[in-house]
Amino acid sequence: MDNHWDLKHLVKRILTSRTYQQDSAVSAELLGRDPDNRLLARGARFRLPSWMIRDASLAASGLLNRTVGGPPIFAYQPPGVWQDQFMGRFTYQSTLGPGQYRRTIYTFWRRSSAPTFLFDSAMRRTCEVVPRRTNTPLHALTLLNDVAALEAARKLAERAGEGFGKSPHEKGGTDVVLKTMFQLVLNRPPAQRELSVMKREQRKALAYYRENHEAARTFVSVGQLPTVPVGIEADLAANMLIASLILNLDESITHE
Amino acid sequence: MNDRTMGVSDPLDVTRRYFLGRGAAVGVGAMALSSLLGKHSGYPEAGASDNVPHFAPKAKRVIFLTQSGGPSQLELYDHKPGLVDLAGQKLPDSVRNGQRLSDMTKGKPQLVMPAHSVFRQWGKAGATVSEWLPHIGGISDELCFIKSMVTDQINHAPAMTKFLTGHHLTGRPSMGCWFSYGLGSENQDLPDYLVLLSKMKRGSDQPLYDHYWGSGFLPSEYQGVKLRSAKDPVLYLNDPQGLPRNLRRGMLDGLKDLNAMRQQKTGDPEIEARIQQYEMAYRMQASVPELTDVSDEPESTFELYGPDSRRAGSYAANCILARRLAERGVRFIQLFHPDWDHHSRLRSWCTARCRDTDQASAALIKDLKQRGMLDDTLVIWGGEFGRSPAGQGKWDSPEGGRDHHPRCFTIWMAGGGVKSGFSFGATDDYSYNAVVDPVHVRDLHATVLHLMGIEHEKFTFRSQGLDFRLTGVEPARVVHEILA
Repeated sequence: MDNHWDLKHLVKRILTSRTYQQDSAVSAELLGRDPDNRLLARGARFRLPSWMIRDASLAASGLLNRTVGGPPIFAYQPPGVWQDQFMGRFTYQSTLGPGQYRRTIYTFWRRSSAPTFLFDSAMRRTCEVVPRRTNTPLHALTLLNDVAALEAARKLAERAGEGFGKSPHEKGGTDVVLKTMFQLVLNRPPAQRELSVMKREQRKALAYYRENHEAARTFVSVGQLPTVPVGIEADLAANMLIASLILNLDESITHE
Repeated sequence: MNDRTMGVSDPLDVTRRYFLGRGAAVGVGAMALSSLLGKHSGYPEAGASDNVPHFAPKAKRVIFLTQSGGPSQLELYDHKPGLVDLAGQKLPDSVRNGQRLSDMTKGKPQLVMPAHSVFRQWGKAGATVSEWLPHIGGISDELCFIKSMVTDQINHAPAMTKFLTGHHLTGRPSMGCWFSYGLGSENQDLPDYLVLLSKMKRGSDQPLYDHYWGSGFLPSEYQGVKLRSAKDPVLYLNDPQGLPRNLRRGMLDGLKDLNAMRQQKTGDPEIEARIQQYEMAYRMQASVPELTDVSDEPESTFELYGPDSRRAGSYAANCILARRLAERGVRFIQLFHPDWDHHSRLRSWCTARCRDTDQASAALIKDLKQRGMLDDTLVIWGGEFGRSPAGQGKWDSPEGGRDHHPRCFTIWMAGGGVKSGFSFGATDDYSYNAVVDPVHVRDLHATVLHLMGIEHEKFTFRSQGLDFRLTGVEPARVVHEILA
């Protein structure tokens, strides 16, 4: 009130406070004494809203287009969604080019057909003060299989593998790539046991894709990303799978 | 922001809570976890009643055949031969009694239009059903008709919202969500509440809003999951091409291991819930295609449900899916068939909707019965309101239709603890007012809850400081007269 009801001032004040910036890790004792964190002895831990998840994965992968303003873009939607709603009276074509990777706030939206990857969006029929934070199998499927999520995974793998040429794995770069992807998404290095889980699954994937180059090529050919040069598809596919794993981690989609 | 909003609540508090996420993450996580364990009570903040079901249920599951748009009771079930003599006469004011009309017929003469259809009596019980519905007539000895249904709403969206959620404004949970919340699932591989929409041969004029199966103030994990009548019945269900199943499994194993490590560190129960939801997603990738692939059905199934049952997404095909979902223990299965809104050309449009739905609706009852499932499956057929005895447009022309009418309509139920070969309630000579044993929508809700073993007054959920229930605040009663 002293600042003339300036909301930006208030938000900034909260965000820069020591209370807000606390770690959200909690001991069993503290959880027992203050399960709802009413006393603010720890930071809040909550899942990001779905639009933020998309923006965060685009940013981590390097795909994010930060242009400000302008007309809306048509984000990827599974086939049939708009046909079902509009019975052919409206044709939805996803945006080609850099526009696709703009922030989610620029996504085209009709109240009768919200973008399907926004699995927890407000219905926009009644006033909602706080967005819902749900946790359903449909979210999991979205983050595993949405085209935008897969493009971000491939791009993240490519970004981490830069400088290694065709095959990071033959040049002893496996650890570096995994650590780089992890760092880019979570802003911290993986612990040794975290790294070994990623290596375990990465080895399995690499073994498969080295035997099945066609499958590797199909897997990495996602959305509108350029065709990959012959010879790198197996390594890229294995890394892309681990990139997708990292982007699906609870920690990646959660504010801590 | 001004003093007035300050007086109502403390916006600073909301903002702080929004940013700090307060305890919601922990609370919702604990609830999600308990739901995965198949038990929804024991979450004190939610205000859920304990011990649901309250007593032994008659029905274990519901199949709701929702006929959207307001099917005409006058043409289909509520036989009023006396209207022939009154044809073209003004509807008496004493009958209408101040009833509000929709904007479409307000100010126009209300002239009686007798039924366009021909009725006959069917079966041993002699139910009176239109010849437009020969298959439903043929199984009427299995059915329990309620001819005195009443609602408060005269337009589609509020009336359907009322019919399904108990309130005409959006924001309340649909009936199926209440059952998902209260009773959980018998099948760990599929959601509790599934919704199937008819794919019409021509474009439908009627929107089916997703709040019709929305969870309102209940956590949205209880919302109806709409299976789409397309190649992918669940969005994002298919893994990307080039990713074999064993690598998906490995990737999810790795995800599970890393998430478990994070949970150890943070102590957040939401992570455990998330691990389980990813596992459910993986199971659905197998269970949903198996469910929707009807190639294992014998030829006789398609003959029973009629030729349209071979067209994916049709009402008839959805009736087969409904039976398959019931076999798999899904708690609440809801079909929607639109375009029962016959303001004009009632004779041709209404018969078209009858052809879409008649054989398959009857086939579903027969099929459930022959599999021994009708006893514990409650099937409901009905729409959001009825239609007026006055003609809309020219009453004496085949082009004539009928406007919306909330004061009486007919539904039927079958199986799941209701009487068979039974008709309850009656309307006046015009099929205008429900005069004998009126059954309000909320009475129907109380009755369905009762059949599922739940006392409607004890089954509540706290939201915004109020203990909400499906039947609302006005008195509702279980219609004991129709219980078997």
